[in-house]
Amino acid sequence: MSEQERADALARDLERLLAGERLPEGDPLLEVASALSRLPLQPGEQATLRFEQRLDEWFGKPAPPPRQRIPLPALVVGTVIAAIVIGLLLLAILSNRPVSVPTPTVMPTAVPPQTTIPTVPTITLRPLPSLSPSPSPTSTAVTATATYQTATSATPSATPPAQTITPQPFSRVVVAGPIESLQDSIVVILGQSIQVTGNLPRMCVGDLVRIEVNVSADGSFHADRSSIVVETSACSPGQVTAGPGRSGGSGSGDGRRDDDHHHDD
Amino acid sequence: MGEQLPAARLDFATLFREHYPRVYRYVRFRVGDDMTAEDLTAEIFERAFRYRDSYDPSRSAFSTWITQIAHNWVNNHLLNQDRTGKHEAEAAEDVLEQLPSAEATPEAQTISQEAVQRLLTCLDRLTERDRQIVALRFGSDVRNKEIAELLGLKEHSVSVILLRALERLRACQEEA
Repeated sequence: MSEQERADALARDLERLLAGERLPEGDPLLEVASALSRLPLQPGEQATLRFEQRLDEWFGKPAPPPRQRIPLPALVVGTVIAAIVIGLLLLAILSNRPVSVPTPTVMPTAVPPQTTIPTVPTITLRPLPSLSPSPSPTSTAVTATATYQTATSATPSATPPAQTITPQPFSRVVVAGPIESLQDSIVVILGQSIQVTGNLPRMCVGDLVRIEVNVSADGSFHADRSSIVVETSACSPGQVTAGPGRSGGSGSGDGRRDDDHHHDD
Repeated sequence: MGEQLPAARLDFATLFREHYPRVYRYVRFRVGDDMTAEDLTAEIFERAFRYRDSYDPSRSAFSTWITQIAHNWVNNHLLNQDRTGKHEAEAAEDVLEQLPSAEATPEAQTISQEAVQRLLTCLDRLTERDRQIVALRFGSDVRNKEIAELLGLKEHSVSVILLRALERLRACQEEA
């Protein structure tokens, strides 16, 4: 075999060798060639780093690799789990939050059953809004919007609104209705006795009055004389009246006193 | 690899990264030490970057183009060394100490550090032309036909030169 033929044969073997094929062992030249092809010659780390820096200077920073997309099923499951966890957390937070349950000691029990006076359509117990910020210890947190109205079949609701945070010993309400009886300083309106401080104005049984009443913690009603407004007078000669010169719940009146009767609130 | 695209649209950064180890390997085959090889490789890519617009993908593959630059650049370096009286053989004594740790690479499992050192020593003893061809064939994985084109030789001549170079290396190893 000539040198050229050997060279050509070697060239073909080298092609296969460098292509990754395994050649039969025993050929010393192929062993040298194999060793040459496997020489561990690599640039150092510092040189590679410098080279990368140069590339960055020349071409800018390489674009970041595309973000791995989360498989859709995993995304859905993850979202559902997250929603459940958030829901449970919210539920736990809400269930552990102290709820201010009003425990009012003042119950607007001033409204008697409607059956007692069927002629009176409504009895309104209305907290006075202006009294809420009152520094008086008798002020109540009964909200100004609380209106207790009795219908024919209705019973007065004793449950104050949920906004009532701090129970108060007193409440101030308006009692409106016809006077059932008058005894000394006690006016009975629709079954509810109201203790009036001071001399009673001229009033008669049957008068339709409106009284701003302080409700004590024990449920008793107190009112100042000045807080009584006679809406409609039912006074007539011989009718039971109360007022100056009168005491007690009976007796004939001596005429209406305009100053009292026309007390305007 | 995008080598068929116009030069203006080629991703040279990616091409440079891909070919950097191969170019270094070729240079390292031809010069005596790692540091010189690293410096020369960096210079080769500097030139490639500067003249990247001259690269015509329709005429040659990028690997051929960058190998040609490397080949010429190393030739110039060696020529300058000769002019200054520093022959590459002088650096051969230091080659063994400067070799990278063979244990750090998978190749080390199949070729021992001693064999590597002996082979590189023998490589330094080849003539410049033999070393060029060995470097192109085994350092840069250039085929005989392309080596012939690059060096202006016939393919058969390249084959014969390779045969003889390998025989010399074999003989050198046996001497050692």
